[in-house]
Amino acid sequence: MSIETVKASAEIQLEALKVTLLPLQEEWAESHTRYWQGRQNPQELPRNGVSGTVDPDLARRPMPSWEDFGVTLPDSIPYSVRCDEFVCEGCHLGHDDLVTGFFVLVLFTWGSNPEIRWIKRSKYEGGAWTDEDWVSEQMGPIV
Amino acid sequence: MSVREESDWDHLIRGDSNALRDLKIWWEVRSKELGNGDCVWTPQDEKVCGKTNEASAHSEEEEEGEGWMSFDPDFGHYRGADGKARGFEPAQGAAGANPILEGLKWWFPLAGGEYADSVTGKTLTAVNSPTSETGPAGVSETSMGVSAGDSNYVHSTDSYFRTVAESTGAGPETYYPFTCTFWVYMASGAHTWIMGDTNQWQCYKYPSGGHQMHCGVKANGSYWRLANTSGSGLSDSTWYFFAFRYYGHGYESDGSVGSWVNGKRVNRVSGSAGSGSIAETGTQDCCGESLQTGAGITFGGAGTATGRLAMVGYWDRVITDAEVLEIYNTTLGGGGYPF
Repeated sequence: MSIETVKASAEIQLEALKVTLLPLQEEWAESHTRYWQGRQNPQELPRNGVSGTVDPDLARRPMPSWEDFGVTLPDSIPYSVRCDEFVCEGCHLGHDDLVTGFFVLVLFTWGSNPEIRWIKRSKYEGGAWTDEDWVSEQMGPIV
Repeated sequence: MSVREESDWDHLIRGDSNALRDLKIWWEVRSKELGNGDCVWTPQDEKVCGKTNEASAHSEEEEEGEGWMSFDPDFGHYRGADGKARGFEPAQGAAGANPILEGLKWWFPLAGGEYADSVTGKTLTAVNSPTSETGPAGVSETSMGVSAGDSNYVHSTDSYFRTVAESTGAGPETYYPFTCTFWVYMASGAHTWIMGDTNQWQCYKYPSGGHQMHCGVKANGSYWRLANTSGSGLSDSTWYFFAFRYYGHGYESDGSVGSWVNGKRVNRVSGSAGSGSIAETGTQDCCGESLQTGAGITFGGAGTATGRLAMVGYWDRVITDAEVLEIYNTTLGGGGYPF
């Protein structure tokens, strides 16, 4: 499986997650004031297109797991998915406003020496999505 | 507001660090019309001043009272008990201030679940709820706790570094030195801890050969070049204080001009408060990387770190060994910013 194939597959999953997660997150936020956090799944990032096994019960307690929250993931995928909640209190000088939102991410690693982590994410904030391009980070070893 | 000990003002004017930190100020607030140029801080941290061409301001919301005000390191301000009164910020980087403050661009205590910069007041964004933990001086809620499994960290995309115009160039004349100091308490595994300049430089723990602290910069935006703490055998679940000093493109670690040489040093300080000793645990003079600029900082990696982080500072200069030791001794002794 080529890196482009992994990226294409992950992008399809990312779009599907955006559709699935948004109503669930809005409902969650109404009662919790903040958004749900979905732990990286599979926990160990899949490498070089080799699929990892998804754990539907993976959760950051006391928040519900992916499955309990209402998100059904494939049994195995060559990338990981994650849902990050963010809070920024008084981020802007002179204001005490609370900014909240969430990211949906797909990520995987590729290569060795150096190993590169590839990430693509979509940000939901203020009622709108912002899609970001793929970015890469060197994970080490460092030379 | 009046000062009981006039001699303290002498120390304050001269920028004596101990005087700045230890000074106590007697404050009194009485409701009154403010005259031209008179200013007070309200309990809501708003500055109210009398104005020249307008009807005089009135401090109606200021709560009357009196008491002693002392320096609160978490806020970088003098405050009264229960935050009832708020005083001034000690001078930062200005002539007459503690020399260590020169070039200090930001300082994050990471205490009390707050992620504000003591220098600029900017606040980092918290992702996935980092926790508040016991810090290096053994005081509860004086550090930030993160877990790779929880993918939590704090970050900002604000500009915290020099602009491209200030720092680019192709030869040894390019000079972009900096220092980053921090306390870290690490769990097992390889984790990124501090990323700066849109990941153009970073410090992170690497697990081979005894846990090592790697600090480095990107070489022309590609591979990392860094100074490693090889063989230092860092232990898990132990607080360490590090200083990463980058001497600038074209400069050797002794500050002399070299040809495409870039000095980097990682120092670790150990010992009890007041008697810390500094050791050079990682060095590199090579590679000629041209540090690229960007914006933003991330603490706790981006979901890759497990452990705690506290009191992260950044200077746009190479600070001295003596200054590194002063930071260590001050922060380990329970002090904070300013030093």
